[in-house]
Amino acid sequence: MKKIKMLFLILGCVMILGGCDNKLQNQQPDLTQIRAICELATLKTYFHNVAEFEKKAGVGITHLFETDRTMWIEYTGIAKIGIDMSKVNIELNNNHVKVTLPQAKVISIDIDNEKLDKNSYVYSNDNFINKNEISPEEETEAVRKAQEQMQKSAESNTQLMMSARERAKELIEKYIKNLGELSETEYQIEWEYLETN
Amino acid sequence: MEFKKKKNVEEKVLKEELKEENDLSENEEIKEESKEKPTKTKKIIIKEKSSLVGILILVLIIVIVGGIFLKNVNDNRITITAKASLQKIIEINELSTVQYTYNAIATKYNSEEDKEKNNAQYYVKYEGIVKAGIDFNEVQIDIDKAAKKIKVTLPEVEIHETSVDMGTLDYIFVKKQSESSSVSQEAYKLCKEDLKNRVENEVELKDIAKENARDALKGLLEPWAKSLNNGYELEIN
Repeated sequence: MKKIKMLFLILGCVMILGGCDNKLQNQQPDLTQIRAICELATLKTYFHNVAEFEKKAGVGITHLFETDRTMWIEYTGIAKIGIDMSKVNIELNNNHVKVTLPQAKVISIDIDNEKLDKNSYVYSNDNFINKNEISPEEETEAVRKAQEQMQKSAESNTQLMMSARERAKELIEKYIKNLGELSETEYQIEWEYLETN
Repeated sequence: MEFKKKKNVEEKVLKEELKEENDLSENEEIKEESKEKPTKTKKIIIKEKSSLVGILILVLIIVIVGGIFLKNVNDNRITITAKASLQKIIEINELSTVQYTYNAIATKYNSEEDKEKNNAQYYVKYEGIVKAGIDFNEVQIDIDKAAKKIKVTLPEVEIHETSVDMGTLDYIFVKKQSESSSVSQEAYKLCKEDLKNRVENEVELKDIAKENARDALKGLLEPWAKSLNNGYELEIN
């Protein structure tokens, strides 16, 4: 009798520890809901993105007969590039204007809604005995990584960053020349470029 | 004859005495053995208990180590790679002056009837960002020399962005069948639509954006206002 009780105790411990997967997450509420910004977006870029997701079959009794799964997601991502206008410095000395421009950066990333639908997703076949399903959370994670990659791709494109800053320079120059015309003054503009943001 | 008889009787008595002695010694042995038996049984029981506890501890260790190993292996079976290639570039002139972060929940219904009955398919929690501002190219600047004023006319405030961070989508499926493959794209569109509807009701957002745009241009134009003869007043509308 005592041996049977001991056996049950062992089995109980095995079941409890085997099923343990405690993920207790504390989510702090976001307090910074609204804030003032001063961003001048000068280029809107469209990227063709492909996210490749691989999920291998699991290890253990509960994962017997599972097969490896692959999923591809193809969509268009949008990145806006520009400068932080709050870091633009304008010094006026008679008819001499010195303008300091910060580096361009990726201001926002988004997904082209119209180019994302069910046809954007491609899945490999699953086993009918024991499914290795790809959850919606995993799909979401795949797109999130693709967006991250798109941002990195834009940031590392030096030509693109320079073009965005150049465009900001054109807009500010036009603005200064307009003021010059109105005040009947020909301004000499000196440009200084900050290498860090 | 009598001697023989006597001898026989003596032998009998001796035998009986010997037998008695043997019985006595046997009894003593039995008594000693019975004294030893409880000690022996105790030792066996203790030994058995110790080995059982030892087995239990070993099993626990195997389960814990095995569990950790399996969890590590199963947690690391996902690989994601991504490729991005630039397709198109468009020039814009958006000066965004306010950013609003939304943490909201969108609900999926299959029909208006379901919506009225609050019969949801699933709920999706998301984080969205709304940016509003003006078209920088549309800012009009005039100098009124008579009134000594620099007049700035701002264009209408526009919503520049309503984006949903797909990485923040979290689901609660009410109807199990709605948890299908590629549901994330449907959920994403639902969240975007939800965010767009919420923003349309946010009148304050555009007022704040205009106020901030006014401040931004004031900062840019003040050097000019001060530098003009006897100083000019800056008026931004």
